[in-house]
Amino acid sequence: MAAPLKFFSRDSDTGTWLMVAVFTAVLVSLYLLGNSADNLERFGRVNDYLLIIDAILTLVVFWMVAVNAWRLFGDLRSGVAGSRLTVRLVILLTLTALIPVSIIYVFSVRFLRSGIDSWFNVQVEQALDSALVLSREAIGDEIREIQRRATQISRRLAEVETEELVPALSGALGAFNAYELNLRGRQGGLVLSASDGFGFPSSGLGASVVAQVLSGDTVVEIEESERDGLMILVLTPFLDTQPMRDIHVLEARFTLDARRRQLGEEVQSTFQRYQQLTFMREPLKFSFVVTLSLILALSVLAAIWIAFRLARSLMRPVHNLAQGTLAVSQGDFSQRLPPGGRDELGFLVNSFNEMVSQLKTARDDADRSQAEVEQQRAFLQAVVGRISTGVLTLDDQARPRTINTAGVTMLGHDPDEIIGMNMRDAVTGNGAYASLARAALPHLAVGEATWQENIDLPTARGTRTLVCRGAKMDVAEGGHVLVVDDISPIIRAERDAAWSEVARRLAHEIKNPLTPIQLSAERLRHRYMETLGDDARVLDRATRTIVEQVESMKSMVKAFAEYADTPALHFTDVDLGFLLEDVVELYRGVPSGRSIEMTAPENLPRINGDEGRLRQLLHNIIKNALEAQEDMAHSRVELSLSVTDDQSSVMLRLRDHGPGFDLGRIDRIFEPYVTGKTRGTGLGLAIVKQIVTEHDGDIELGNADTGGAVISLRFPLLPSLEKTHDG
Amino acid sequence: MTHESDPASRFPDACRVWLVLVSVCLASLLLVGPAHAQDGRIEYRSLVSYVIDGNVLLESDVSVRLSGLSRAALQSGVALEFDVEIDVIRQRNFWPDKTLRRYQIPVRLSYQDLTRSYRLERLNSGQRASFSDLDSALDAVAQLRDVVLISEDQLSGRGRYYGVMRVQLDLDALPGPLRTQAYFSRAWQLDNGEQTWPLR
Repeated sequence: MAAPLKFFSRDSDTGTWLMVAVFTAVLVSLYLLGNSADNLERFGRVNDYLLIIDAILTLVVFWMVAVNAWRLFGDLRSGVAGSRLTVRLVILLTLTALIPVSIIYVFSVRFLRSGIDSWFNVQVEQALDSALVLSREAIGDEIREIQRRATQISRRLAEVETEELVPALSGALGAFNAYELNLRGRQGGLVLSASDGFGFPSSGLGASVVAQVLSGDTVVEIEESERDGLMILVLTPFLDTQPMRDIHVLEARFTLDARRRQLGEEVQSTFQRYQQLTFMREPLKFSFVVTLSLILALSVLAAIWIAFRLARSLMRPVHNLAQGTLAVSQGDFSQRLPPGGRDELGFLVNSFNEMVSQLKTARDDADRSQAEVEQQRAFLQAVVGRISTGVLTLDDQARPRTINTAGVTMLGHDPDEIIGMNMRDAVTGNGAYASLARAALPHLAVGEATWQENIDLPTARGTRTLVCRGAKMDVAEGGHVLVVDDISPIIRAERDAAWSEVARRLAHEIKNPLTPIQLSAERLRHRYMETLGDDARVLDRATRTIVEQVESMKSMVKAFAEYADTPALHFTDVDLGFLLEDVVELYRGVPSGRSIEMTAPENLPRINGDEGRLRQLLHNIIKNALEAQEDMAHSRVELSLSVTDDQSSVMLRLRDHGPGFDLGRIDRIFEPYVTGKTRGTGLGLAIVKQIVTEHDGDIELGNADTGGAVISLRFPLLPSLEKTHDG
Repeated sequence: MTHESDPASRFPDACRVWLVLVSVCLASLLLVGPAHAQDGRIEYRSLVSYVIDGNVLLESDVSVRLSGLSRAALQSGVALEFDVEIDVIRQRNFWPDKTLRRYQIPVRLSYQDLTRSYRLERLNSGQRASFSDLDSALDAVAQLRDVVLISEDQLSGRGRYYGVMRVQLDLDALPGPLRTQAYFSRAWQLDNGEQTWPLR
């Protein structure tokens, strides 16, 4: 399943509020710019704030535009669905905003420049110049009048007696409308002073100025007074007529006529403002254009930012649809697109969601059905895998497709060897699969619907009989199914049952007349032995023979009875090593030339079995081995006990050094009367087989490579329930 | 003076704005660096302290020279404001120096068209003076006589005492349109620096 897909989400409210703030700022900026254009001082105050705020907002919006552009560029490089269309939309929307704004900007700059230029006029400037010249002339006239008055004061005071000088000075102050009158000596020192104001007396004069006055010049200066503004200072020679007085300079200060001064200052103020405007015309234009450009930049960037948001908003459903389609194509039906609006795209989104929902339902149904089929198939496979019947399926070319565990066991082949191997290629070979192929191919060739064949497979443990049933499969791709059953145990069981019945009847039919025969023979011997004379010897030999043969027949009948009538079994935990040693001990007293060797591991696990029957089994195989070597000078029997590698069974292996088994009859060796010895009933191994079967064990017979018979017995270690078997 | 501006300079002016906007950062970076020879400059000719009646007095002779653009602005009625700043500082070892006194004297220089004179006005005291020529007015901007800096008793501690004088043109006091230009123009930057002199 692919990772969850990322759908475009709605734009945040923060961005919307920021956009509102930006546009409010733009509108306010334009309003302030327009209102301050006609007032230089107001513009000076407002312009700084406008520049700072607009610059900050411009940087913020520029950053957001850059982020959006970078994100879009990343989407474009990653091939995100809808990114190319978003780029086109952004470009289109940006151009739509940029073109009219640029035109308006160019014309605004032109209007701004021409508007500022219109403030200035040649006539106005000339008029202001003239007014200023007129004002200067008026003040010049007044200064000349003041200078004249100062000269008059100087002449008048020069003739005044020393005693009258103080009141004369004060009188002159009012008479000549002076502000301050000071009489100074040759060195510039203050001799006498009279003032109309309340300020401190003036400080000393410079030596150069005093020298200039003493040389006969009149010095006129314009002074700035903190309280009274412009003031005219006249320094004129004091031609004193009185000897002994050190008065040589008259220092007189006059204020200008208030009305004239006011008018002059107004003219000067207007002139200077005009001059100032003229001087600042270009900087003013530049400032206006800078501010306007900054506002324009902010507007354009905001427009681009809006273009990004609009394009993203418009492309959101398209992108989400593309992502959803991709998810569906990858088999992911769990994705749901964010609900669309009420327009056609919203309808498309809702239809897509509905379609995906239906697809998901259909796929879930299909998955469920498939799971059920898989479950049934697994169940069948488990059943087929665990049944004891071998099952092979073949394709229409007679090549095995599947084989179950029982089939593998029966055929004795590795599945990889036969899966896909055409039966026609195997028919000339050896082995179980080849035998199966030879039996099946004729039926497969003619396409029989059902058929059955028995197959005899020669093995080391005898001939195995397999029943093979074939059926043609009624499926589109054709093929056959072969069912193979190993009926060897059934045949063997039937045979054993038949022999048991024979033994039981023989024992029953023969046992009854034997005792009368023996008694009759003994009675004949007893009655006629002494009366017959020479024939008594014949009678003696005959009756002895009868009695001996009857005894022999009784033994045989007893053996048959034992074979036919299995006693009740009592299963207990049996130490097979201890039991074997016990039995072997009985045979160690036999004549020299015979040896019985036994090996067993320590702590051999106990098995669950009937001790009496196991003891009989051990007697039978040891006796059988010894009898097989009866004619040999030295007989040797080797017994070994061990635990199988998988720790599931105890193995008892017996080996003798006799002639070994006749392999030609080995598949019937467990049948009664089948024996390689001249004597005996041939029931020994049959009983051994019977006891092994009673203990869920296995027996295998064979010959060692160096000669001698080998009997391998296996008894399972797993504890089994106590069983009773009524024979 | 003409009513029509030069047609050739009309449109490039709009384009230049964009260039200015883009190069504002670069320009500001350049301005941060040390100023080189400019038309406008300030020269501290003499800074002398002496003690009279237990007070430390200052006599300063500072020459201020304006650039051509500043002079033109002054002649056009734009008043210029200077900030004269004087600090009395005690030098300390392993520690920042301590400022004992600080005097700030704002001075406005304006041209009077009516009388063709230059008016100098100390804004914190209202003291005014007229000068018939500009250089005399500029020399008087930071010319101080017998200004009491501090009592001699306050300089009796250990260590070195010195004064620092700074004279600078206050660009914030310029009219708005000029102010924007002045921030980014070297013609308005006075090589003011500062001057120290020993007090004890």
